[in-house]
Amino acid sequence: MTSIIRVNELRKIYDMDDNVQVTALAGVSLEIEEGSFVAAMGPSGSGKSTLMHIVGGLDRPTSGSVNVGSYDVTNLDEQQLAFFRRKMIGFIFQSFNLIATMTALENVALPLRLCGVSRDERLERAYRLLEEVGLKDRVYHKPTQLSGGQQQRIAVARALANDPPVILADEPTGNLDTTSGENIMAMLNALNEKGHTIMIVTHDPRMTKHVHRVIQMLDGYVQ
Amino acid sequence: MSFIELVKFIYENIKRQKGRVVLTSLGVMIGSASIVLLLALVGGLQKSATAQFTNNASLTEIEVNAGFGGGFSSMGGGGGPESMGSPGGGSSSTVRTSSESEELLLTNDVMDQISALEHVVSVNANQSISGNSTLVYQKYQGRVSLTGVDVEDLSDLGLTAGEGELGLSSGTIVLGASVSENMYRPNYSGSDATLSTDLLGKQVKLEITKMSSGGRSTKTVRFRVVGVLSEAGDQSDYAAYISMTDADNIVSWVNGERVNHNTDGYSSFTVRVDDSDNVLDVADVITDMGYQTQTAQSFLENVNSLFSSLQLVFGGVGAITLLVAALGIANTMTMAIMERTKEIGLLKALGATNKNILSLFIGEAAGIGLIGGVGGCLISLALGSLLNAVGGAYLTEQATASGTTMTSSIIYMPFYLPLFALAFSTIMGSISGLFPAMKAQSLQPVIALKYE
Ligand SMILES: Nc1ncnc2c1ncn2[C@@H]1O[C@H](COP(=O)(O)OP(=O)(O)O)[C@@H](O)[C@H]1O
Ligand SMILES: [Mg+2]
Repeated sequence: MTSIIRVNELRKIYDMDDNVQVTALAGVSLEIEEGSFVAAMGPSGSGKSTLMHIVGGLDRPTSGSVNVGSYDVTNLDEQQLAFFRRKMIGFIFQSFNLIATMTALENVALPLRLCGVSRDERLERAYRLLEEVGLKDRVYHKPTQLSGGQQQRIAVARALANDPPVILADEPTGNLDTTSGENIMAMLNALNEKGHTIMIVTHDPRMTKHVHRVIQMLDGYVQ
Repeated sequence: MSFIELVKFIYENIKRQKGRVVLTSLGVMIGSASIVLLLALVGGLQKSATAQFTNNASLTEIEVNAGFGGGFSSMGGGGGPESMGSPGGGSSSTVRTSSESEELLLTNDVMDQISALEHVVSVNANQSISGNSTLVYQKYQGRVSLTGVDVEDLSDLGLTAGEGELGLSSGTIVLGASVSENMYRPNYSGSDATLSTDLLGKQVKLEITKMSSGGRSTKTVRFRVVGVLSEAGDQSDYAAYISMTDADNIVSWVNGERVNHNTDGYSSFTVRVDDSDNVLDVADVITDMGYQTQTAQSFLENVNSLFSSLQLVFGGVGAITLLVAALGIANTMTMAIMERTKEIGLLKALGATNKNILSLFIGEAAGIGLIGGVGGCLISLALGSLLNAVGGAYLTEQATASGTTMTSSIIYMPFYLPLFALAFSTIMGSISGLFPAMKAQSLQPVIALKYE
C-alpha cells in the first residue's frame, strides 16, 4: 500500500512573550496509508490538534515537511493551500462549526459554493449527502433546531461535499453523547470502507475499536 | 466563485445582518442625501441667479459708465444684475456727480472712440434723469425710472415690443411692461384704485420734481405712449424711455443750465459687440481707457465662480457627513469581522481563498454604501421635489407680487447628481471596508477557528 500522508520531522514551536517557547510538536515523523483509518490519541496538550491542522493545511510548521497525495503541503502559498484544502481535505470539528443562519442544506453546499459549483448542482449534491447521513427530512432546518448528533452529521456531509480523499476529524465525538458518538464513528467507518482515508483525534479509548491504527502522542512526540 | 455568485453571497450575508446594515447605511443615507440636496440647492440658486442672462442680446452688451481715471474693476460700478440688459435702467445716477476734475465723462468724443474699437457694432448713449419722475394718466400716477436714449428704435438696445412700436421721437414715450399696472389713485381705495386701462396710444403726463434752494418745483411734460415693452423680468419693466432731445430738455431744466454732451457727457453708453466671445475683451479695452464697464458676461462669470466656491463649501459639508458615515461602515465591518472570525476560519478550512474573503467583505461594505446611497437618492429626490413644490410656489407668489413672472425652483437636480452620489457612496463603502477586509483575509485559519 502507498502512503497518502507523509510527515517528516515536523516541529511546531510557539514563541510566547518573555522568551518562553512552547513546543507543540517536537519532531514528528509518520506515514498514513491510503485507505486507512487512524486515530491520534494522547493526553490533552500532547500536540494532536496541532499535527492535524498542519496536515490539513490550516497551520504552518516551524520546520519539517508534510506531503499529502501529490501536494508538498508545507511549501504551498496561501492560494495553493486553499485549493489543496478544497480538493484533498474534509474537516470535521468537535464543535461542528456550522453557520447558524444557514439551513442544513446551505451548510453542506457551502464548500461547493466556494468552488463555483452552480446552485442547482450544489443543492442537489448537498441533498444527496444529507440523505446519506440520514437527515433528508431536516434539510431546511437551521443548526440550532437540531441535536448535537444531527449537527455533527451535517458536518460530516459537508466534509464530503468535495469528495476529498482525506477526512480529518478533531474529536468529532467530543461534544456528543455515547449513542450519537457511536453513530458518527459508524458513519466514518462506512466512509473509510468507501475508500476515504480518515484520521481522527480522540480521547475516548472505546473509539479505538473502529480504527486500524492508533498513533499515541505525548509531549509533542509520537511514541 | 463567479462574480454573480459572489454578489449573491454578499447579498445573503447582508440580509442575515439586517439590523446592523440598516443602522450603518442610515448614516450613508443622511450623508449622501445631504450632499445631493446641498449641491442641488446651490445649483438652484445659481440657476435663478443667472436665468435672466439667457437672452442673447444682453450677452453682447457692455454698459459703460463714467470713469474716475482708472483703477476700477469692471464690476466697480456697484450696479446690480438688474441694471444690465436695460440701458440705464434702474440706476438713476446723475451726469454730474460732484467729484474731482479727473472724472472721465462719457462725452461724444468718447462715444466716437468706442465706436472705432474693433468688434464694436454700435454705441448708444443713455441719459437717466435725476429728480423724481412721476407718470400721470387721468387720476392715476406711478413712479418710473426715466431714461433718454439716442436711438431711433429701442430694439437697437435689445428691447422687444409687447405691443405698439419701439420707435421714439420727440413727444413719444415707450413704457416698461409693468408700468401701467403699478399706477394707482392716491388717497383712494375704491375697486378702481389701480389702473386697468391699456395706456398704448394714450396721452400721459410726466411730472418731474426737483428740489432747489427756491424749494420744490415741478415741471410737466406731455407724451404719447407709442409702445409697451414685453416683460423682461428685470428693472426695464418699470422703466420709461424717451428721446434724447426730450431728455435733454428735462435735464437742462433740472440742472438749471443747458446740457452739453460734449462737456458734460451722458450717464451711460450701451455698447453692442459683434459676438459674445468678444465682449470681455472689448470691455477690458474700455476699462483700460478709464471707464467703468459692466457686462452680463463678467457678472455671469462672477456669479458662476461664486457658486462654484459655494458648491465646494456645501459639497465639503456633505462630504464630511459622508466621511463620518464611512467611519461607521469601517466600524461595522470591523465589528462584523470580529464577530465572524470563526466563520472566516471555517470558510478558509472549506477552501475559501484569501481573495474570496477579501471580496466578500469589501463587497459587504460596498453593499452597505450602495444601500445607503440608494436611500440617500430617494430621500433627496423626495425632499427635492417637496422643496420645489412648497418653496417654488412661495417664490412664484413672491414673483407675482413684485410684478415679475420669474418662476424659480429652489432645487436644481441634474440626473447625474443622484447617480454620482450613488456611485460615490458605493465606492466610499468599499474603501471603508478595505482595511477590515484585508484584516479578515489575513486571519490564520487555525487561529480563527479557535477564536471564541
Ligand atoms: N496558538 C498557540 N499559542 C501557544 N501555544 C499553543 C497554541 N496552540 C497550541 N499551543 C500549545 O501547543 C500544545 C499542543 O496543543 P494541541 O495540539 O492543541 O494539543 P492537543 O490537541 O493534543 O490537546 C499545547 O501545549 C498548547 O498549549
Ligand atoms: Mg486538541
